[in-house]
Formats: sequence, C-alpha cells, structure tokens
Amino acid sequence: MTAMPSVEARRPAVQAAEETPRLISPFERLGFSGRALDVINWLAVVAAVYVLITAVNVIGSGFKAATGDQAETLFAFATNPLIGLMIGVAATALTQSSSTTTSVTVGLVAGGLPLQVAIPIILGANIGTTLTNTLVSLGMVRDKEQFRRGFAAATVHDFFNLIAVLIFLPLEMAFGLLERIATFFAGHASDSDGGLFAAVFGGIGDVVKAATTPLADGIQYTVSWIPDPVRGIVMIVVAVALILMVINFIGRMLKVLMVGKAKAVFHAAMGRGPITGIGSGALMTVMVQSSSTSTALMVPLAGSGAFTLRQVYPFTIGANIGTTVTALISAFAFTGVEAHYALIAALVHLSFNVLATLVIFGLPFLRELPPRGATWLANLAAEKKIYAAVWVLGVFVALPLVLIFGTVIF
Amino acid sequence: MSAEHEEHRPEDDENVTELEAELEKILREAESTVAELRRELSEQRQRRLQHEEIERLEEHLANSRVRWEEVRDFFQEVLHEVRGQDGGAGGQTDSGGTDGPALPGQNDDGGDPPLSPDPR
Repeated sequence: MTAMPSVEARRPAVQAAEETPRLISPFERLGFSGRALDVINWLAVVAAVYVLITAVNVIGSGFKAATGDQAETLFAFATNPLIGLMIGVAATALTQSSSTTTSVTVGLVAGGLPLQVAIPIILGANIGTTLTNTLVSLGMVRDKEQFRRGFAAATVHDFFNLIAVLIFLPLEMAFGLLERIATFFAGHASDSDGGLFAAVFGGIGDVVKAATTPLADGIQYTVSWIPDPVRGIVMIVVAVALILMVINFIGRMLKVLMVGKAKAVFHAAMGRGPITGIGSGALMTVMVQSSSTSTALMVPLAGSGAFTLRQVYPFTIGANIGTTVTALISAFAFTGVEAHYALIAALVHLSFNVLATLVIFGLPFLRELPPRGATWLANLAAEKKIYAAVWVLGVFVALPLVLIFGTVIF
Repeated sequence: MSAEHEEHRPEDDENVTELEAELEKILREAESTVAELRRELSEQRQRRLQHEEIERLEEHLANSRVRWEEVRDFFQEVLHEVRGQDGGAGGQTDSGGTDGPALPGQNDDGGDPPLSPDPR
C-alpha cells in the first residue's frame, strides 16, 4: 500500500495548479456556469462583432464628415507609400492588433480614403503585428537556449512579413498588382451582375447594414451638435476606441470558447507537413481572431523545444492568412459603392497574404530565407542580447520614424 | 600442438575472409537498425512532447500576451550587458528550459546549439 504523501510534499503540486494561468470568461466571474455560460459567451461574441461592424461604419461616416470631398487633397502627403507603410507598422505596433488597423483602414476607404494611401497601411499592419510575438519571446531571456528557440520562432514571422513587403510593395507601386486583383474579385462579389455569389454577398450586406444602422445613427446623433470637421474626427476617435475594445474582447472570449477546438486542430495537424501547418495556422487565427495571439502561442511551444522552427514556420504563415477574415467581416458594414471599396481594401489584405505565401513559401530559395534569417538573428541574440534589442527598436521604432521624417523632410 | 593445427590451408583464408565479411555485414545491418530505432525513438519522444505541450494550450493561450514587466527586465539586462556587468547576474542558464520539457535533441544526439535550421 502506498503511503499518503505529506502535506508539505503535496503543496508544490497544489501551488503549481493554482498558479497555472487559466482562461476565464468575464461572465464566469459574474456567477454563470455550464451551458448558460457557453450561451452568454457566444451571445457576447455576436454582440461584439455587431459593435465592430457598426464602429467600422461610423469610421466611414466620420471620415466623410472630417474631409468633406477633399480626402485625396488632404491625404496627398501620404501618397508616398513608405509613409503609409510606416503608419501601418506604427499603428499596429502600438495597438498590437493588425485586425484593428485593417478594420479601421477598411472603414476609411469606404469613407473616401484613396486606395493608394490605404494599401501600404494594410501592408504595414502585417509588419507591425509581428512585434507582439517578438516582445513575448523577450520574456524567455533568462534561459539562453529557450530564448534562442523562442526568439527564432518569433522573428521567423518578422523576416517572412518583411520579405513579403519588400516583394509586393514595389510590385504594387509599379503595377498596382494587389489593387487589380482585389478589384477583380470585389467586382464579382458586389456587382449587380455578379451572379449567385454577388447576390448572397449583397444580401448579407443589406441585412447587416439594416441591423447596424440604428446603433451607428445613435452614435452619430450623440455627436451631431459638434460642427464639422471636428464632428468627423470625434466620430473616428470614438469608433477606433470601440474597435480596439471589441477586438480585444472578441479575442479574449474566443480564447475561452475555442481552446478545446484549437487543441483538436493542433493534435490533428501534427506530423502532417507544411500545407496542413499553414491551414491549421489560418484556422487557429480565425478561431481566436488574432494573428498576434496565434503567433505568440508559437513562442512557448518552440521555446520549450517541443516544436522545431521548421514546424512553427508554416503555422505562422497561416496566421497571416487567417487574420484577414476580420477585415472581410468589417467590409459588411457598408452597402453600394462604399461596400465595393471596403471590400477591395479587405481583399487587398487577403490577396497580399495569399500571394506572399504562394511566392515565398512556394519558391524553395525564398522559403529558406525567413528561417535562416531568424536562426542567424537568434544565435546572435542568444549570445549578445543587444542584438535582440537593436532588432526590436530598429525595425519597429527607429525605421518607421526615420522613414517618415526622411520622407517629410526630403 | 598437433600437425593438423599447424597446417595453414588456402581455403581457411577464404573461409575467414567470408566469415569476416559476413560479420561486417551483420554489424552494418545491426548498426543501421539501431540508428533507425534511435531515430524512431527520438521522433516518438518528440511527438509525445508535442502532444504534452498542446495539452497545456490553455496555459499558453493565457500567456500569449506581452508582459511589459518582462520587456522592461529584458532591456535592463541589455543595459547590464552593454555596461559589461553581465557575468550571469541575470540568472541566465544554458539549460533546455525552466518550465518546459528537456530538448529532445539534448538526450538523443547531444544537442544542437547554436540553433540551425533543421532539415526536416
């Protein structure tokens, strides 16, 4: 017969269990449990998506009120794509949410922001979002090998997205590649003669618009006493704050609701090769509505040594694709010609990430660059932490500032 | 010792050579089998570790956010390093992790730091 372990012997296990972070819904703290908790959690997510779409709609109206019909003139300074790119990097790095940046941009495009300004912002959001998992990996610095692996898993995303922008921003500037592709598909989805798909898309848009109009009108009514263009600016600020809050809330709720399904996706994807890795990364990101969350998740998995850099690399790329769903949802905030432009902006994000995956991961000599770059940087950073600091401050702070000031001055 | 034992016949040489060749072949096959078994064992351990890490997904998801105190600590360590005050003051270790499982490669193939892009 086994002797019972002493209280002292059992204490560490109990403490460990207590200290293990757990995902808790805010409604659980209010006393809900079981089936009722599940239902209220899902209702909260639906309500948050409703507020997100409404807020995107308010941004479009606010932008119109703020700029009148002068959007192109007012944003002439930002027609330099490097400025737009760095605005996207900085905004996403600050909010730690590419979904927020792309949703706001979709709203602004519907309100009249030229696509030539918006597209570099969307591309910049892809770079800015890589900051989150890089910052998460810095927490591993006290263990050299864990930090080496975790930092490599984080910066493989940085390298991939930087290379993607280096390839596709010049192509966009020279040929309008992404805009052409997105316009082609948006035309099929929103034109009156676009067939069944356009009819379904338009129908959903009409229903969503009808549902969100009362709240959007309510928000606009509360600021109607403010004269233009200040009213428009206030509407934009309120809507951006709402989007930030609800995207954060949706992310928190979906983590609670989706953890079981996410486990199943991971277990099923293991040992199945890179295409499944890309698919599971995209699926996981759609589930939690945040590429920052899903790529940050890779840091401890790789840092522990359980997953290799090669195994987390396709998952990270898939996260880029999965995160484009938020902008597509946001495009439902509009109807008519506004919906057409909003959809183009959202499809630019999707086509950019799909093309980047096909080109960079599809071509063997390009496919090797992100893991090699990340490995090289992680080896340097593990020996001298200053390299990691220079990378973080250089790519996400100094480079945007230098490029913005350089472009403005020269 | 008898004369029979002293006598050295050419066919004996051939037999010995054949026997040695046979033994070398068996040895090569055994080594190949051992290497294959080690590889399979390593892969099996890796898969087990992966499943265990995935079972901790809730914990990892809860931790998948930036902790600014850790970022601050990192930059403080960088400052220590730049000023030449490193000397392991930060409690840095070279082990395979503080809260995760040991790196599979460390037991099976002697470890692989510095990191290299694995060929799989």
